[in-house]
Amino acid sequence: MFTEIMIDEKIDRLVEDWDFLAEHVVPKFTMFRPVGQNIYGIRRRAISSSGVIDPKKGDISAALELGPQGIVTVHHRPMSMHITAAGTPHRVPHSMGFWHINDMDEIYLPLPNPEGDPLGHYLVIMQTPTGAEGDSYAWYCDRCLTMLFERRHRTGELGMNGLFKCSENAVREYNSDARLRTCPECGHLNPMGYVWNTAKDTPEERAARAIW
Amino acid sequence: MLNEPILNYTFPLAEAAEDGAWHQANRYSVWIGRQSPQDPPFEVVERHPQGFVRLPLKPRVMRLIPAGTPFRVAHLFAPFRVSDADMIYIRAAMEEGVYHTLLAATSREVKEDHLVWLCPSCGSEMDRRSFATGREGLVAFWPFMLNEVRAFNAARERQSCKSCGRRHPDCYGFDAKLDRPDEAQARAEW
Repeated sequence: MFTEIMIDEKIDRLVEDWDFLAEHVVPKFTMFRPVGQNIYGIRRRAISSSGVIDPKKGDISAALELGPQGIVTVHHRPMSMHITAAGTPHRVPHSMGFWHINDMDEIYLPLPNPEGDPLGHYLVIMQTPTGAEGDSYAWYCDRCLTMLFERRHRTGELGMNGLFKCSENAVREYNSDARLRTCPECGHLNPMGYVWNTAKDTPEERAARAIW
Repeated sequence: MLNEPILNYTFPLAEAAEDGAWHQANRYSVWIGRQSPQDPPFEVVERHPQGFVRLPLKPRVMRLIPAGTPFRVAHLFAPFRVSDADMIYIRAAMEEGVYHTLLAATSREVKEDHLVWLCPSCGSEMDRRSFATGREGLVAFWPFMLNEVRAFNAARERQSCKSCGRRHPDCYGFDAKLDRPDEAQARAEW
């Protein structure tokens, strides 16, 4: 039997945080963290055979994507990898009160709870944007899908710093004026937006989160 | 008539593992495999300045293999591969088997992949072949690899380490279904 000569040192001593799913490393990815050519987010969530449950937001298995066919529901199922192609507006009802448009692909992989652990790993991976690449936060009319409002973060230039603040500012600006939420095509008044973090909800945004 | 753009891709791990092929999903290349407990376990082996390092077989792992790091996956492919692209490796042990996922993205920075034969005894680079991944795509790299592996296995003069004299073992391509007997034996051994 052929064997290579291995060094005696364990990889833990050679490479810091070599396993992103190690218990002491996961907390570093609770938001989004760029490492090398990709950005990683790891969420500890209850992931059963039926879906993905967020401790605060409930069942967030269903995501929406906007394409030529209109709004399409995508179910994020355990042990199933989903890739949202760059440029596709997407959102998760009751979790993201805006449409996110990423210039980079986004990969989602829910891994069910390991034996003896109440929480599984929900992995989000995307390429690190460079140059003019970035993220937009947008709203479309519920009724006719006309674009109502959009704000952009130059992530390729500015990095992840300020990304969440940009979404918060976009939400607050959109919510501040009912004219921005009123469709110029069909006249429909759309509900308010809300940010990803439930702790930042105003009472009105909390009410909007319950609606859409 | 123009085809509509593909806006989303879904890969149930069990189905993708049955298929066994590499898939191109927009800018990402994806491969998913599944092993039973009886199979010789796929193990990531990386070359670091200190030497060869084998990743522990934890039930669940996500490892970023940085661009420029020579690595191979024992029993999946040999020799080592070095890429301009980061490779993401995910290992998830489930009741029905162990799932292995490999993920790599293309970008303007990703230009080449290299096959590198490293002496298993002294670590010296014995041979290297390059592939224009930026132009051809990662999916096309693996057939290239198989051709180069066969050329190396057939050339005795390339298999001897110039530094220490040790003979490099036979190598094998990515797809076990294409193995010749010598490749299948090498795959079983290392």
